[in-house]
Amino acid sequence: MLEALQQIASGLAIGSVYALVALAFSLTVRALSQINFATGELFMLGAYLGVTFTATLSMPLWAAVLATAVSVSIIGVGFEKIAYQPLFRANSNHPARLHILIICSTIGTSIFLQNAAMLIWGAQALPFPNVFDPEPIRLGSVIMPVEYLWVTGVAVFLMSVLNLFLQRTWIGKGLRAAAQDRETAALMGVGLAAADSWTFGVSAGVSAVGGLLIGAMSFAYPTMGAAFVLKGFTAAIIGGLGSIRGAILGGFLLGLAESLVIAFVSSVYKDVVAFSLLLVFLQFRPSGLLLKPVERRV
Amino acid sequence: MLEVSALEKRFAGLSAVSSVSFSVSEGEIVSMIGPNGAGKTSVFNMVTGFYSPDGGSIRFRTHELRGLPPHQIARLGVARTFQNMEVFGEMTVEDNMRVACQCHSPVSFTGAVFRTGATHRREREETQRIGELIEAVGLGQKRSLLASQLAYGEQRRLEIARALATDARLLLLDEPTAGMSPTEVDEILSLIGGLRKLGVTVFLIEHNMSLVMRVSDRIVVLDHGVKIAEGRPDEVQLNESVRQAYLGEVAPLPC
Amino acid sequence: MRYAWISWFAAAVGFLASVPVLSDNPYTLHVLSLVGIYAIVAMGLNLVFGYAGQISLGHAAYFAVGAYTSALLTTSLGQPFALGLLGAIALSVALGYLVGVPSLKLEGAYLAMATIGFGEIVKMLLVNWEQVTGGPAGISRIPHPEVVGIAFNSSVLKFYLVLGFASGAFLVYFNLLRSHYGTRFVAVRDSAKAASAMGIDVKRAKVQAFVFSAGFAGVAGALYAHLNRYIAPDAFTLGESINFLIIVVVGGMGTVLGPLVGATIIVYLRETLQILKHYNMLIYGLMLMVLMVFMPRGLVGTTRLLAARWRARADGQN
Repeated sequence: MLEALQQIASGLAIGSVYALVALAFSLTVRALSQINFATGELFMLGAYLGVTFTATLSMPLWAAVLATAVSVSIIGVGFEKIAYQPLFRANSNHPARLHILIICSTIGTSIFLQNAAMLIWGAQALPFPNVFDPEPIRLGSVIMPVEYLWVTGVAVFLMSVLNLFLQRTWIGKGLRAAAQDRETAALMGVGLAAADSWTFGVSAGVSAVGGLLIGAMSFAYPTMGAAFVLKGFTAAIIGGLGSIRGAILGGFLLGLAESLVIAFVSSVYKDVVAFSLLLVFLQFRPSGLLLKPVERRV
Repeated sequence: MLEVSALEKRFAGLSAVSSVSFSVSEGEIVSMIGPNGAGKTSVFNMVTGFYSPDGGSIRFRTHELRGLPPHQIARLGVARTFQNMEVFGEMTVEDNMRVACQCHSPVSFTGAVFRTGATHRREREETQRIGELIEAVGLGQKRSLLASQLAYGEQRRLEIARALATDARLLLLDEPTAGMSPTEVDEILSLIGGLRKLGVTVFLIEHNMSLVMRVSDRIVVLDHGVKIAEGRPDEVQLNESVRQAYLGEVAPLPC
Repeated sequence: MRYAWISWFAAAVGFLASVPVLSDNPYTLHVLSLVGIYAIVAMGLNLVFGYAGQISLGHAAYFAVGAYTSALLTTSLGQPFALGLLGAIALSVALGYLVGVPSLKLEGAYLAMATIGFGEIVKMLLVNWEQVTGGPAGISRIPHPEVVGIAFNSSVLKFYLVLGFASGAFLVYFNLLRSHYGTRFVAVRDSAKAASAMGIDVKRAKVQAFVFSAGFAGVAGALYAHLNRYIAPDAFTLGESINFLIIVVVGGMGTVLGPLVGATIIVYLRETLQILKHYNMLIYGLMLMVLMVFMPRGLVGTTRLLAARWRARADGQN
């Protein structure tokens, strides 16, 4: 039972990271009307940059988080401006073809980033320096590593900041308007290209922080992007792709589900949980838990 | 030929089409008119299987169309064009027609792959038919162009020719002259007249009143999802409720 | 005009058949055989993705099923190659159907993700179901293919085997695409609404495309297993699926010859840049992004476009 609680704690921590990746997906779905396949690699980039910032440059963890978020945001916006915006401009009359081109292009970005990272940092896993207090937290008889709390805390903090940003700031409102109704937003003066770039940048930063948090909990490794991208996508689908709250809900649910399977069944099958949930939801409730199903004709 | 009874369609509680009944006899040209939002395209969509009615029935010859998917309705002999043109942009004019040809002839996958004698024969026949139809709508010179390369009016004619290629007995045209110049409208007018000679029954939605008055045998008028009038053009013209419905819009009086 | 292509086809096959005469270097022949195998997969993928617009990032799964089925039938069950091949086709086609039907509801990124998820499930099965698949170690000592008593046990003979299958596959693929029946696939992509209004059963067309492409990948997989004589799960990853997609896209999605051109380029690129593996992949990624912006129609498609424009200018038309 005790182990189960510990698993749940770790599940929540990982779930909060899934939520971040899901958030990143939901944000880019609004901007690109497509999935950004490079989300996973931006995630991985965050982890590796985090290692560089903390280990090589000896920055304190909070500063590393900030620096990572900002750098990867800039990188993300760079790709958006160079690789994706031209596609929008050239194919505005062919939404079907545009989708395919964007999928291919973001796959290209992901391949590029993954191999660039391997060339820069090498192909092996890189651990974070010991930034956490090795003394675990004790809640009654439950022992929890500090990381779990820290990761969950930072993730939740980031999500609240993001929420405030979208709800309260002028830029955030513009992004939300553009996500809901592009034409009207444009008519009201929202610069669509700028809105897309901002959305993309924010999404990239969010994924990067997620990667850093996972790296801090374990280590940075080259294929972590692929591992988390599918789970992050699953979490987004569970909650409702495009919905911020859905991403958060989906993330925690998935993390919880996985930890329960590890605790009560076996850790070998933990990945099956995510894939099965993905296929089940895509088949029966593609709009997710929080969004209403859209009536499809034909 | 087509009998619509007590047709109903609701969207999120609002009634889009309410208890609409009318019929179209073989060989007729019937127009459906009404202000924007009257439910005309909804009726079309229900007849062709794109919407499922919430009530009523749709009979085409001896078949009940309600509940059938669009491709089966097409195979029974009902073809349509779309308000927002839906040509197959990345295919040539000829290929657009080829898609439709398969409607009435039972084609097979294996036949296509192994190129049996039967397939060769059928494709030859189809190519000839396509050629005739393309000439009939005046696109003979443009047969190898991509549909997206055609002018607006030409694309509309392609849509009509394509619908005809399905060997349909009943043709539903959704605003065939939208956005056209008077000359182009006249071309469509003679095209529709020519359809009658081919034995095709035509049911169309239109806003262009002069076209409607000139070409229709009968007119059905819808307003806010309800049928408010039906009859010959001269009768409908004088109908008071019809005039009221169009108050504020262009008057239905042609010259 | 229709029969002109037959002479082109015969000339191409004849030319390829004479390659072993000019050079009996086993490595060259092996690479060319690989091109043939990948071309078969690409042709199938082109139908479902390039023509019908259904994105599939899980094709390595059908390839794997074809490979493993044939391998298992010929090793553990000692069956002849012909049976192995039939089994490969049967199982990959069945899988294509199983994936195609639920995929009908999905589009774009959702479809992409679902196919990725599905591909990962298959790979997990290959790695974990050790009693059947041999786990991470895979299956080795797969016999040479033997047809009517002839054992295809040299690189030359294997090349001819692959050439034979690839030519056959091309004929089937070409016939389908050029037939009147084949027009439905692009129709479904361009406007599913209009296609159904013209009598096309859109769902059936999509499933057919999936099943067809799965079958092709299955055949290719079986050939691959017997060419290499050893298969392991790490040859059937998401990376492979992406490779297949790149082949179709680079060659030209929706063009008849695209898959052939793409397969040639990608296989050779991979072979020549093998040493610089990460730089190679870096270039891949960059190439994809650049291609999408400047040559979205791939090599064949862009060539055709330019040729059409040049012809139009020469004719003085507009």
